[in-house]
Amino acid sequence: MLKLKKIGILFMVAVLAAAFTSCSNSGNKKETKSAQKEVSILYPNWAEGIAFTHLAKAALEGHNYEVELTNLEPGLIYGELSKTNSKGDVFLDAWLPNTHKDYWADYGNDLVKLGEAFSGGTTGLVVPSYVTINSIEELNASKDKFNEEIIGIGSGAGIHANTIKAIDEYNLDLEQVTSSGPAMVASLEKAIKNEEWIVVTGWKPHYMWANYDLKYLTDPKGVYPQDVCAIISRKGFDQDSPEAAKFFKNFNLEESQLYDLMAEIKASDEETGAQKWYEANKELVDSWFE
Amino acid sequence: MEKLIDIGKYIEIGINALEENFSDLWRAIDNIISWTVDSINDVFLVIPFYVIIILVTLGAYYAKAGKKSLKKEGIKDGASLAFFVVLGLILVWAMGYWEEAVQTTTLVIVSTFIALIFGIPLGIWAARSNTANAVIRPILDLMQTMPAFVYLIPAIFFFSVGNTPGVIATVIFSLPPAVRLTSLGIRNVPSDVIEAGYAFGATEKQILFKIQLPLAKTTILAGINQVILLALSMVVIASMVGAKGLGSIVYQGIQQNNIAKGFEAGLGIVVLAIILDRITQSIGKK
Repeated sequence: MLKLKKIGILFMVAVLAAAFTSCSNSGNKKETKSAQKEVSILYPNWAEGIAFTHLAKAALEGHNYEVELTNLEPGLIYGELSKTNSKGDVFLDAWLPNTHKDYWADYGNDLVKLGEAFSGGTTGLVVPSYVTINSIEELNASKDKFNEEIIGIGSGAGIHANTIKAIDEYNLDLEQVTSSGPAMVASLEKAIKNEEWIVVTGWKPHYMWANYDLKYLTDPKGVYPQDVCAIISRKGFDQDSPEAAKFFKNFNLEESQLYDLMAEIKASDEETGAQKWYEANKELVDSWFE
Repeated sequence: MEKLIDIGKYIEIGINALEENFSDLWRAIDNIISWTVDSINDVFLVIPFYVIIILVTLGAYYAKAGKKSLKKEGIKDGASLAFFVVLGLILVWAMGYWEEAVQTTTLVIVSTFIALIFGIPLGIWAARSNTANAVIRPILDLMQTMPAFVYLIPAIFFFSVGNTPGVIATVIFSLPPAVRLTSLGIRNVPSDVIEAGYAFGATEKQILFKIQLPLAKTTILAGINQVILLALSMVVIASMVGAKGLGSIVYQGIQQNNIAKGFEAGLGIVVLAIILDRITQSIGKK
């Protein structure tokens, strides 16, 4: 028992000493902190969402904000932001009006749409550009060249359900192969290497558009919806932090800019990549504050 | 299959009522836990990492070698543990996950502390009263068999996202061994020793503090060791509701299909687990 006490005393002394030094260190930090504004961003683990979120963090920190990031499932993000005492402020990757329409139906009344991080969120059937057909209606005529297969992703994705709908509406004689995002990209890579014909379920924004020459097959029946990556916040955020809200209202990336940012992140990591891209495009990003 | 009973709905109604009627209480708990976790983190992160490594190493060595710290056999006892602690912590720091490791440790400390405040008195109570034991036991069984993820759902509901729901879920998950082993330790104290105590005119309080608890100490410490290790496994899961630390890195690794990230953070957790386990075990053996 005595031993425990001794260890306890040693520990207490250490903590007290540390607390003492921390107080003397943070004395001046505290003063600036009261003047410092805080933003809490919630984000899911999607490549484009990670890119938006970390770019926003780099820019806000450059303007003396303290930014907290919390990684959560999309359902939890919508639920949290709709609360009156929400711990989050903003979410930069809401796929509206279609892909997340169920979440929006549940929580949309308590949320505010500030802006659009990216305006061209599209899904559809994608082929390499050397494939000579241009419309979903032409698929049946060349079905042998595609092995009668459409390479799909996971069955939980909205695009998977829409492809089933497309097969039905266009009476396609092709079958959707359920795989995963990475497996779909791998099949695409392999086919392009061998110059074979392939059709996959694809979406924008996605890094495959930056790496390969691809095109959407036109969708005359409008089966595949158009979305934006919306920036949404809790109610009252624009009154609490008008400057930050303005930044999010103006925050918008072009396709090429987003792929550039994603490539930067892929080359290092989220923090460093976003910081680098922010410094290289300071004028654009800082103009969103004005 | 058609549902005949809708238990889930009644639980939801109950939890909704709890949330509405005691919302101030939940907010107060949330503020206290958030403040505690943040303060401990701030203190640990202000101290340079090498100072912490030295202190933890010395602490681990002393816990292992004890009174023989400066003698030959003591050095033989403690050196290997001290060596592992130094290497392990330097590895965590070199991988760039020092801050996350500190956050994880803080969550474990706070959760364990709360679990023991409730767990040890409950264990004493369960040991001294058969009725209490009969009531507490099935509840503990339920707590330990319910999948850990389930605790996260009401925890978010009461305390929104962040460290607090993580701590609360961790307390629920890691509490049972503290109760069980405290109760077991006290019940295993030989009855003739207790009788001797009564024969010499000891009061109930003296029996508990001078006889039962000292003799049950080893078992109780084994319980504390279990609580710490369960807490560590739960704070990783708690990252799903926004708890910070190494767990959140593992979680990102899973979601992004990033082997490197997940493995590094997992390795960090293994290092923490071994250090916490060995130190508490050594203290228990004394």
